[in-house]
Amino acid sequence: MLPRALLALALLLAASLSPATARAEQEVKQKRGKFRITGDKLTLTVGFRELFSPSMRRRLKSGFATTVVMRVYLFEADGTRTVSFAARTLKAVYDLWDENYTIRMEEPPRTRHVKKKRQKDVVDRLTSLWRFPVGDIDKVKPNRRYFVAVIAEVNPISEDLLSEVRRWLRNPRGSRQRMGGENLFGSFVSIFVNNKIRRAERTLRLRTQDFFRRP
Amino acid sequence: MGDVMFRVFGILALVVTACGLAEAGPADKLAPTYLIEAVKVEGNEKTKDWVILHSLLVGPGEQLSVDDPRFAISRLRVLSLGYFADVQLRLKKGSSRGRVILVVQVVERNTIVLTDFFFGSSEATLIWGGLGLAETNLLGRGISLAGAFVLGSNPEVDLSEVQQSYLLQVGATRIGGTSLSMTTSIGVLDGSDFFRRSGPESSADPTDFLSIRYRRVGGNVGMGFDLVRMVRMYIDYRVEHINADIPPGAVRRHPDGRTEPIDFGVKDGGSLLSLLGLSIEWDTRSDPVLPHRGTLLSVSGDFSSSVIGSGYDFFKLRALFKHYIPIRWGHVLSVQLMGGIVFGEAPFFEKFFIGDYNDLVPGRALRLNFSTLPSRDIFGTSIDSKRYEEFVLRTSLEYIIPWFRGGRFFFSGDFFLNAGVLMLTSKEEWKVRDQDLSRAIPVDLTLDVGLRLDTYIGVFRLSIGNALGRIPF
Repeated sequence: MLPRALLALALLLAASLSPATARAEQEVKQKRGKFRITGDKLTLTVGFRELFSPSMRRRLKSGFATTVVMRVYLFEADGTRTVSFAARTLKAVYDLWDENYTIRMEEPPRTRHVKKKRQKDVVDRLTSLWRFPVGDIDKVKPNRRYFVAVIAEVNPISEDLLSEVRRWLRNPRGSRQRMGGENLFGSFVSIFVNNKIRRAERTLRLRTQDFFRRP
Repeated sequence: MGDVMFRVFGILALVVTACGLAEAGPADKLAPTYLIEAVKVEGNEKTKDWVILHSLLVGPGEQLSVDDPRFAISRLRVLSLGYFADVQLRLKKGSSRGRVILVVQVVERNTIVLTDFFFGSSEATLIWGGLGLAETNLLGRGISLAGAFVLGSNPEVDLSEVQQSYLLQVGATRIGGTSLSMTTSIGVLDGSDFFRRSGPESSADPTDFLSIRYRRVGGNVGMGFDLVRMVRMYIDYRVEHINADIPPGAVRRHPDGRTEPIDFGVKDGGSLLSLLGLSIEWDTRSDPVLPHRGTLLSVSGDFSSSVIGSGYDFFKLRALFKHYIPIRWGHVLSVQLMGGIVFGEAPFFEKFFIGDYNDLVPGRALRLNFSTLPSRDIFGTSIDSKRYEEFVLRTSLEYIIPWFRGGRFFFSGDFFLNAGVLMLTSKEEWKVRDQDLSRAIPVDLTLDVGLRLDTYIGVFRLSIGNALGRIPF
């Protein structure tokens, strides 16, 4: 009876302590964006400063590059078909001697560089789209509803490297005989660091309001 | 050599990482290149500096761009030591323009972890339990010290005694920053294993069994290192003194009245087991705990002979293959195959035990068996008569439904359903068949449904098979 009770308790614990962070990362945030037609392009302006935590802001001054990858999808509101896709990669580096930031913005086929003195301005650049060309306007048919979805990642790492790191957590043992196993509560030494090793330091998923183009 | 390999890997990973870190542009415009003047470690009260410095792929005297992937990989390598809750790198101005000091800022964490938790009950043993704990960073030197024990109540089987097993293990990983790891362990076991003396094969009634008391005292020395990327080799040497009390004249009485002497599979009195093991593992899985793609192939051989001072002459060969295929809706299908064969005369505990391969039968806890439960024999073959045998083959399919990823306490969770068949038999039965084919091939169904959780304190497997294996029914 006791093992059953323990099992039930463990399941209950698993259910009640639901992974809040995981859910938060997978949540799609609603954002109000501003759409415009600029030339033959549909552009979007939207900000998402919550992408950067206070510690990430501090680390902008670490001297290392901070990378933000943004993927922007234009969807038809009544379906799941992607009408168009665009991407932007931003990389910011703080120069220790000049005490300013250089931001590189890649939007294939072009690359731009800007210099900023204030950290606030860098965060603004890394966490917003300003009149960003989502796609050709002729792909947006009049009187049909659309929305834009954005996935933004901070310092993403490749799947291969991620797999390699996860193997480091398990493989360094020096013998086939190891403590623990996959029995009831068997654990792998150092597995707890999994939480720190993700595909990206932070991922934000957001969706704009629906919009339509007047005829 | 391992150091060189790790550095070669670092360079390979550098190329691989490029896709995640975006293409490098004109280096002069964005990423300044600095000369690393010194490396400083901050935040480590317990862990020695050299433990951290050995994990870095960069060092003083190197001229590197600030977006060089080796910085990111170094951070992950330090983090994967498992001693720190957080690791961050930053650069500080050096003695002159263009020179920097690399600062590795760590936040230490408690490094005592739960490695095992044993708890169960069976027809033969009212209750057994135990615990395994490990200090993974002993004295801040990156040495792991682990200990585990299991104790069971006195089994309700004739001639049996209280069973207990203790294991102590010391290990060092990534010695000198290389892939080389070494482990040594000592173990003491006082066991009573159960052998059928009467009743039908399907019976788990403890009165149908008698037990032999045996003690094992010995140690193991092993090392593991990367041969190439994804391929790791392990070499082990184990020596044990075995002392077994074989009841004289013990016979098995079959329900049809036949009798035969019981083969206990171990030498009476004292004997020595000396065993050399070699194992090669090719692991491309995306995650060692909850993989979603990739392959694990492991082949191992254990050699025991009088040539190396053993009282037992045998060779045990084992192979394991697991392949994970991502399918629709993010679900995963896994094909799993494992097999093994023992040539020669191995002690019973070195043979393949039914509980270690059938999810519906209790497995061994720290090398001790606490149950008399036979295989369920779903197909009506002779598998219920098999316990410790010389040939095993198991094939199964596993369907995995990912539940979540990336929580604070629960890192990830997957539901799984594993179904397969296993065959367990002896060499003698393989040679001579004295019953019809349908019974002669001892196969059974193995089934498990449940939830695997990768958590802050370890990997939890909550499953029906697990529960069934731990309660009498």
